[in-house]
Amino acid sequence: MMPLLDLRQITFIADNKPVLDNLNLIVEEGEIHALIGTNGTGKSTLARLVMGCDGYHISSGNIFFAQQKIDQYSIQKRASLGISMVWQEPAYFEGITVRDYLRLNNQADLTECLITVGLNSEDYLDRMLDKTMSGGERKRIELASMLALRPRLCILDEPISGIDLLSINNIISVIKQIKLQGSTVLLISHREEIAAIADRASLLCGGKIIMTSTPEQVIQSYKSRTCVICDGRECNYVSI
Amino acid sequence: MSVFDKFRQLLNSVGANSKVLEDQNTAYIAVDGQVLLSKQAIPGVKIEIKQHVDLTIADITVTSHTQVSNPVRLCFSMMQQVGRQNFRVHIILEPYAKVSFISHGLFTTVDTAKHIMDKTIEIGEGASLTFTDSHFHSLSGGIKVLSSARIKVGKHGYYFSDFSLTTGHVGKLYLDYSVEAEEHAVVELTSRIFGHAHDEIKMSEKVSLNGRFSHSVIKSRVALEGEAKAVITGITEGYAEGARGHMDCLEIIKDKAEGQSIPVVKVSHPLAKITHEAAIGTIDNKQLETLIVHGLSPEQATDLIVLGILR
Repeated sequence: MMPLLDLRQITFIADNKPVLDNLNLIVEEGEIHALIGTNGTGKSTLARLVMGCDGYHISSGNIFFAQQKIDQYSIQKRASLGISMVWQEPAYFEGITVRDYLRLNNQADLTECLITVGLNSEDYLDRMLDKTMSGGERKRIELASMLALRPRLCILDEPISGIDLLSINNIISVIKQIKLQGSTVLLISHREEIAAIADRASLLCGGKIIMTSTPEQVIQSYKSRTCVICDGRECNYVSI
Repeated sequence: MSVFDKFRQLLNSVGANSKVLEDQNTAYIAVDGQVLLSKQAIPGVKIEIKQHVDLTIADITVTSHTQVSNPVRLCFSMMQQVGRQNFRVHIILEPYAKVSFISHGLFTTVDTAKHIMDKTIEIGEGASLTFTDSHFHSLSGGIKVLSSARIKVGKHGYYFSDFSLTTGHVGKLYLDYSVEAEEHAVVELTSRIFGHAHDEIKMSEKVSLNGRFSHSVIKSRVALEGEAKAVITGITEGYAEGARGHMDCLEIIKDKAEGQSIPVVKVSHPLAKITHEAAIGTIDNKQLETLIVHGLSPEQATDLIVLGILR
């Protein structure tokens, strides 16, 4: 497999503190790559840096996407290369229907996309994407939009937050479907049952990737709280 | 082509179907400038027009228990480039009547003009009125609209009003609505306005919840660009047990535009409750970036967000 996303020695400093420190990460084309770590370790920051969100520009290092250096590219340019993202808490929109939103930049079968995420198109296509929608519904619409858009790299930031326990298996199957449609998935989560569906996983701690391996091994390390980098100071891991 | 034909053409040009004026079951008034072009009353909807030199007065009564199936049309135009229109409308809904009004202000060819609209509306017990008022202006910015309304909603009555001015340049808009709600009455006022260039918008909407368990919502959506200015005042007063009111104002500002929101809340009964929320600012960055990652340019994303809030 070829690296689709290659982060080299990424440092990101916010408020004079390094959030990410000399971080290296490779996401291979076609894989689901889980990025796990406890709350506040910089997982969402990493997602926004890759996407190029406003206020998120690396302090040093390089980001390569499909062998292109994209550090200086705007979010629009990155989106045009095929990078897309689902925020942990997606935005709401007044006056924009689910149909309008899912139809952006694609010709997919919207009914099929909604069925895949467990929503009935008759009930949802003409609904507004506003705050009358629950967090879980909104998250499902966002996942449906990724099915419709088919980005080359799909960054999913905590895809099961706001999803009820009974529906987690459905969301897992949606993530697998996104991969089956040809997207590479960077799956950000602190939940092991989500990370377990990945092809490979990386553990983020103290602003660095401290381990990349099979999901089983990374989850084992995560659960046993062994951190050789920050010695527990950054992430409350017990050092070994 | 007759003046009325031109008027119908104008109506069609803004997306309204002028054929409704041929329907014998539709009550309507069609006025150009100060001239009454046509009118039609239907059973249950009485219309009387009095014309003065510089004032036209319309009295419309919907009789008790009448359920009007087709919306009543009030169509006002100004086909001259310069002019003045002064209109007074008095609408009475007798008890348990139910009707919708669709009002069109057609000023798409106007250069300099003044449109004065003074409405009084009395909604009887258990009656229901939905009033949709859409203005279509030219790009001149030379039109001045002075629109006022005094509305009384009786026991268990319902009043919904939607004012929109999102096509063309506003010019100067002074809107002043005041509603009094009796016991168990429900009032919803919504407005959607898009200001450009040097447009000036001053809007005041007031609801007095006088009756027990009367409810109201005032919702304002304003987008401003260029050097447009808007002052949006929302006033809700709760005077009775169970009165519930909410005001929600959102203004999106671009370029050098200026927006101001003034919420006024007055409560004089311990079991009344009024809430308000207001947001003024540029486009929300997260909304913008969400649309960009779905393939839109920043300009397309901005347009979609603005059109959404004005929809």
